[in-house]
This record gives sequence, C-alpha cells and structure tokens, in this order.
Amino acid sequence: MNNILLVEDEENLQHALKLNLELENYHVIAVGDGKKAIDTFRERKFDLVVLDIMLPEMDGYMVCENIRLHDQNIPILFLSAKSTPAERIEGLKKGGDDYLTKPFDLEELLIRIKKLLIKRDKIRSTEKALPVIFNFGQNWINFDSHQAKGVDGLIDLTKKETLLLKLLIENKNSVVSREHILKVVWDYNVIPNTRTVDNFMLSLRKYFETDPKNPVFFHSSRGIGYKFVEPVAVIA
Amino acid sequence: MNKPRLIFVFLSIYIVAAFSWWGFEHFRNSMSINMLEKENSNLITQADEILCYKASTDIGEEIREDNFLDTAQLNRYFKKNYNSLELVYIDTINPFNGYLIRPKEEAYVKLQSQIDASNVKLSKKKWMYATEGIVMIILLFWGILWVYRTFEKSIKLNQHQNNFLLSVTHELKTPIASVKLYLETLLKRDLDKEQQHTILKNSINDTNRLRVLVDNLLLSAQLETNHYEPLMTQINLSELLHKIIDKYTEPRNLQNRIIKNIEHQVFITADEFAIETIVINLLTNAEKYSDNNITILLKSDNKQVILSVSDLGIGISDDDKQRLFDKFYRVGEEQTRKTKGTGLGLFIVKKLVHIHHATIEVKNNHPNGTNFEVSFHV
Repeated sequence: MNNILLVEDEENLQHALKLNLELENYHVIAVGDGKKAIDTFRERKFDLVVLDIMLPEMDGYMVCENIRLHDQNIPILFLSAKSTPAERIEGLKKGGDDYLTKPFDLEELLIRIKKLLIKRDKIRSTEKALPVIFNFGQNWINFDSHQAKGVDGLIDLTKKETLLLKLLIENKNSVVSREHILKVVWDYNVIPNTRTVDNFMLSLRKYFETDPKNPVFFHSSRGIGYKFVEPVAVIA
Repeated sequence: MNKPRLIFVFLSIYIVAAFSWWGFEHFRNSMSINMLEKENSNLITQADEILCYKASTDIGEEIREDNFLDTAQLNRYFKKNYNSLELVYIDTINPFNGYLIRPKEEAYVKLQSQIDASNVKLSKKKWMYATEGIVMIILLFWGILWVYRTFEKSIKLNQHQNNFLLSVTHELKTPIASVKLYLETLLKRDLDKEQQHTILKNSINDTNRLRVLVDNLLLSAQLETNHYEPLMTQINLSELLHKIIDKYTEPRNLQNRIIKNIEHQVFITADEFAIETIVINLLTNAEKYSDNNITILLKSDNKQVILSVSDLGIGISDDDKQRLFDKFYRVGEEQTRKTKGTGLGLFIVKKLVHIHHATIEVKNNHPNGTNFEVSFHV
C-alpha cells in the first residue's frame, strides 16, 4: 500500500481528498501546515506528496524545496488555487513533478497520482539503494540502528552524525559543500555556523580513521566541503 | 469628472498660478534690486565727489588774493558756483593763508540720508529676494515629498491589490473546489448515510462561505461607488445587538466565549442591516485572531452611544492600526496565511460607520488584544 502525504490547510478539501484517496487504497496522512508537513516527512517514509501552496507557517514552494534536499525522487504533486503559468512554472521549478489547479477533476487527480506512483516504482527498481549496513575498511555503519564500528570498537552515533555519514556516502567520491551539508543535516530554520560541520567531521575522523591527521576515508576539500572516498583494492 | 481627478486639476492650476506669480515677482525684484544698486552707487559717487573737493587743490588754485579782493567777494563767488560747498577761514587775520573748503552741512546730511534710505531699501529687497528663494525651496521640497508619498501610496495599494487577488483567488476557488470534489465523490462512490450526511453538511458550509464572500465583494463595490442607500429608522440597539450576537454565536458554538455588557433600551437612528454587518464583521475579526473571551459593550450618555468589541488575542501593531481600514489591507503575508479573509471586512465596517456619521477607533485592549470602538453621536 502506497503512503501519501497530503498537505492541505482547508479542512473540507482535506477531508474530501483523504476520503477519496483512502477509497483508492492509499494510506494517507494529512497535515494542515507547512512546518508540520516537513516534520511528518522526516519522521515517516512516503511514496508521494500532494502539496498545496498557500499554507500557514511555510508555503508549499519552500516545503517542496526542503523535501527535495532529502529526497530527489519522491513524486510531488502541487494542488493549488494559483493558476497562472508563472505560478505553475514556479512550482515545477521548485521541484514539483506535476501541477494541478483548483478546482480540479477527481478522476484527473487520481490518474495523475497513479501515473506518478508507477513512474516512481520504475525509478526505484533501477536505483541502487544504500544498504542498511555499510562496510568500509575495517569499519561498518548501521544506518537504521545508528550504530557503527570504528577504530576503537562500537560507537553509538547521534542522529546528525548518521545523517551526515549517509549524505557523504551517498555522494561517494564527490565533494559535498558545507552549505549543502548544513541544509540537509541541520534544521531548516536553524542555520549554524559552517564551523559546526568541521567539528562534526573531526569527530567522524576520530571514530573511523586510524590516523585522523592523514585521513583515508574522509577527505576535506579546502574552502568547499568534504568528500567520502572508498580506497580501492587495499584488501589486506 | 471624478473627485481625485478634479483635485488634481485644481492642484495643477494652483501650482502653475503660484509658480508664475512667484517667477514674475522674482524677476521684478531682481530688476528693482539692480536699479537700486545703480542708484546707490550713483549716490555714493556723488558723495565721494563732494568729499573730493576737500582734498582737491583745483578750487584752491582759484582762491588767491590776486583773484579776489576780499572774503565777501569770494563767498559770493562760491555761492554762485559751488552751491553745495562752504568756505571756512581758519586764519582770521589773513584769511587767504588758512582756509578750509568743505561740503555744506545740510547737503552732506541730505546726501547721507539719501544713501542710508537707499541702503535700507536695498537690504529690504535683498531679504525679500532671499525669503522668496527659501519659500520656493520649501515649496519644491513639499512638492517632491507629496509626489513621493503619492507614489508610495499607489505602490502600497497595488501591493494590497495583489494580496487581494491572491486571497480572493484562494477564497473563491477553494470552496468551489471542495464542493465540486464532494459532488464528484457522491457520484463516484457508494457511501453510507453518515458519510453522505457529513459531505452534504460540509458542502453547505462551503457554499455559505462563498455566499458571504460574494456579499462582501458586492457590498464593498456598492459602498465605494456610493450606491449603497441606507434605510435609517429608529431602532432599539440593545435588542438588536442581542439578536445579532445570538444569530452569530449559535451555529458556531461560541456562546460561552462571549461576554455581553449591554445597556438596556438604547435607541439610535440607524440602518439595521449596516449595524448587523458592522457587528458581525467585528465579531468575525475577534474570533479569527483570538481564542479567548470576546467582550461586547454598549453604553450611552446624552452625547453619544458607544459600541465596542474587544478580544484578548494577539493584538495589532501601531503600524498596522493605521492601515487596518484600508481596502484589501490584511496583516501579514498572503502566501503563508493562517486566517481566511480578503481584507474587505474592516473596509466595509469603516464605510458603514461613516454613513452613520459615527467614528470608529482601534485601541489596545488590556492586558492584551484589540478593542474596536464605534461612537454614534446622539
């Protein structure tokens, strides 16, 4: 059963949409404002997002941008009263996959959702997802249990450390900028100093590098950010 | 011709007239200053010339014993040829040895006074010239400020209008979308009685919301073009107020949030529909921006009747207070709005209050929140 996040602040519309989607055998979680949408999105796994634009707390464009930082592939369908071409273009630019204006046809909405989900499944089957347990060198990380084995044995990672590790490993061999790290790992409204990232990297090196001063896995790229490198064919 | 255009034409005529008058005066002034300066310099040369005689030996050459037999003859000669000068003999024994030629006292004084008068006139003119310049600069600055303000105002109105378009788009399309979706659902699905009932009830609420919006749009259009004709009758405001409040609170289950402090038997001459619209709009506002009690007060003395609605909500900043009654004005950003509305409610309230020659004021409520007070003159 596919999970759908429905973000709509109008009670009646939310009720009607939820009812119809549930009758189509989707599992729907409905929220009424932008911030809650992001929080809910972080807490659970969804297969599709139906997103209104004019929302309390944070508008739909921002919600969409934020979701895109965490998930490049989840289908996002904008459902808004804003109907000018400029507004629709804005929605698609911000990372929406489809845009439907209110008032809309129920059948059309249902078909579009179905198509987006089919496409999503196709992409998913070709995608190489990160394994739950990732091995590198003598170390391993379990992304689900937030545990790792490092140089000095077992470590309990914090949520942010896990997120940071995941981000770097997902982008293996390419540099991830400090700004991008901040956007993804830290909260969307609290932007700490970029030095914070450096401190986190220091502790990660301490965990996993035999010689933290000459890192093998976690390289820094001066003035830009960090990259994770997996050394090839050094099997002792 | 409409009112703003008329004002604009009058203002332009006034400005053109003022500028032409000022230009003409300024030109005349500068001419007269030139003239006065010339006159002044003439006078000064004249005076210098007279003083010059003092030092001049030209006349001294004429005054010699071989030319004149005695001082009487010399005096006559002087009177005839140099009327403005006089001779003073210093050496009384031999007058031709020691004498002084000087301007006559009165001539000197006369000239000096002429110079003084002309100086005063000149400085007066110069002052006038300077003050005119200053006035002109002030006028110019005032004009610039005025133009700037007008610009700012129109930009703001434009912004409000944009906000209005956004909110009206939202407010119009959302209930239509939800009713449409409900109807399509009823058509497509096989629902049980209870679900059907909820859907129909919600749909009716949505159409009501739509009706209120359309009513407000039409009413504000009527008020703006002065097409609203109030029906003034003697009404019992106390009774009417109770009725309106009950009508408003019952379907919303708000009865226990409303505190009524209503004086009995208060009569005024007013339009009943307008009063109802004012009260409902103020109540809607109070309900929208606060979760606590709403107090409705009615009191009267022999001068005025005061009707006030106060809430304990978030309150309104002073900046917003000034623009609150502007058409389309809403506090905050449209894009991330928590509350529904179009920015027409308080505009309508203000217009209806003015129809009654009454006044409306918005104040801070104690300890927090907002207080709207309407005063009708008896």
